Amino acid sequence: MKSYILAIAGAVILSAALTAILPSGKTGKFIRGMCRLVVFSVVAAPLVSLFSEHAVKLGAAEVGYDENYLLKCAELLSKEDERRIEALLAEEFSLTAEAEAERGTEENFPLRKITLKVSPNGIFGQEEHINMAERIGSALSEAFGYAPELVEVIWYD
Amino acid sequence: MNRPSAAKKRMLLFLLLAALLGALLCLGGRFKAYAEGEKTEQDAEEELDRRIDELISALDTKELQNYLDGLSEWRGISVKDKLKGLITGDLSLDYPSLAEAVFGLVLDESAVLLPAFALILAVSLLCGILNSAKNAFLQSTMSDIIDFVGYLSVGAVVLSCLISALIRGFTAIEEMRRQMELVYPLLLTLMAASGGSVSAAIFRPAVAFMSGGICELFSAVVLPVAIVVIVLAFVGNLSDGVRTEKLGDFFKSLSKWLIGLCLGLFGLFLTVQGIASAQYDGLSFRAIKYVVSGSVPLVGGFLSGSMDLIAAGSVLIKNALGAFAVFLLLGAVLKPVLLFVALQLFLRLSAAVTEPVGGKIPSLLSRLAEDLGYFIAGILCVAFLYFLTLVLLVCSSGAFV
Repeated sequence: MKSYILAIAGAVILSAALTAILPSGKTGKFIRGMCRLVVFSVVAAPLVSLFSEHAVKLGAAEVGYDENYLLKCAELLSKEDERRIEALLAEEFSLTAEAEAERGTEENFPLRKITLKVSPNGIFGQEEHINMAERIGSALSEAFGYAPELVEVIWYD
Repeated sequence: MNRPSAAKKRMLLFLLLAALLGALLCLGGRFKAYAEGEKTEQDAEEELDRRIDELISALDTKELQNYLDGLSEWRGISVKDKLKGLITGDLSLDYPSLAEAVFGLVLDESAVLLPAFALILAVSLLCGILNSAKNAFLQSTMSDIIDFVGYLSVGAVVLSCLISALIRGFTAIEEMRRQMELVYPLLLTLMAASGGSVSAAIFRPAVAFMSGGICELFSAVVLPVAIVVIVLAFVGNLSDGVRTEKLGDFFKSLSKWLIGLCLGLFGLFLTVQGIASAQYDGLSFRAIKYVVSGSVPLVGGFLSGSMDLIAAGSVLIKNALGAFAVFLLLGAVLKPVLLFVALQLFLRLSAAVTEPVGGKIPSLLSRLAEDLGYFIAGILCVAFLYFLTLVLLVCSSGAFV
């Protein structure tokens, strides 16, 4: 564009200078006519290439998210979930538990997994453990509104 | 004898019970019993403040801070401190001082143009004197040459003033583009964190096109077309033999259409999409809250509360960042626009003062002042679209928190 502008300006200035100094005879008229043709060609020629070659490419830059911020939000929500889950287990089942909640950074920070490390506290037997794990899963499902299969209960002594 | 006394006793007992019940109903509302663990309003506010501090610390403002440190007006200002200040309502603006500063800027820029103004007056006066001499004793050709040289001299002075202004115009567009690249990712992140995921997904390509395509269109096409119009205004008046008015009109029309299409189409699509996505996000956020809080009569309120804290904190930070971005935008655009205003006034004043002298110079100056408007319109169009996207990003999500 810069060269185009300079070419037009140069052609017109030169033509105007020649028009001013040339005599008014037939030669002068001929040269003035030629100057007009030169200006016309300087103006018209680049226009054709400008429209045919798509000289301007409109790209779009990539705009990303600040993943660290979203991770921080997910982390804060997870910590809050863990605190509440532990409080719920202590209140409803009298269990001492260490909860680990994992939230994603997608839309509305969905809960991905809950791992509970639970102390048996007098619950004996494999069947009892399974039964208790199911009851814990149901209670948490009611509280959080998600599928029980996201809960993993690990018993430890 | 015993029956009337027994009836009286029953009546008394009934009245006593009724009075007690009435007293309980009237006074019951004055006594509130707080359940263990229930928070007061002050506790909630303190928790929100703590959460906001945590969230601001987690926000990656390093590049924005580096950009601010490169600007003389903003050097030494911390972005995070500024955001915290804006959230607490530190938006005080001293309007008289602002008006004085703006007026002072215009006067300063005008003062710089005074030597050019004096030179134009001198050249025009000389050409006017020589024009009157043309009819007396100078040959027509000689006076035409003198007119030509006078016109070129004035043109050179005006163009030198214009070139510095035009460069600042291009710089303003680049500054705005840089700001968009820094601010948009942060705003979109905060929008996504505050429950506006759909809005963020919809705005993402739009803001990418804004910072890439629109800025490129204006830098590479609209502003250069405005420069072509200015140059054609200059060369078109040079000689009666070579006219470039129609070519100038073509480029003016092109410039107007490009600006109009960008403003109209882009602005319209962005606004409609923003409104629609905000509605969807609002419904989906409320649905999430209902699923969590509706299923637990006591505990659910707390569980949904933590989501609210994150969302509310993110919304407040987003709004503060949006306001901050508007201040940055004003800083990038105000000075160049005021410079162009001063330049336009200068050209019109010069045209008015040289008009009695005659010749082609007044019409050149007047036409240049008019054509400068296309350049100003280009810069203001980009600024307006940027401002519009900021407003939509700030307002279209978070209203439902």
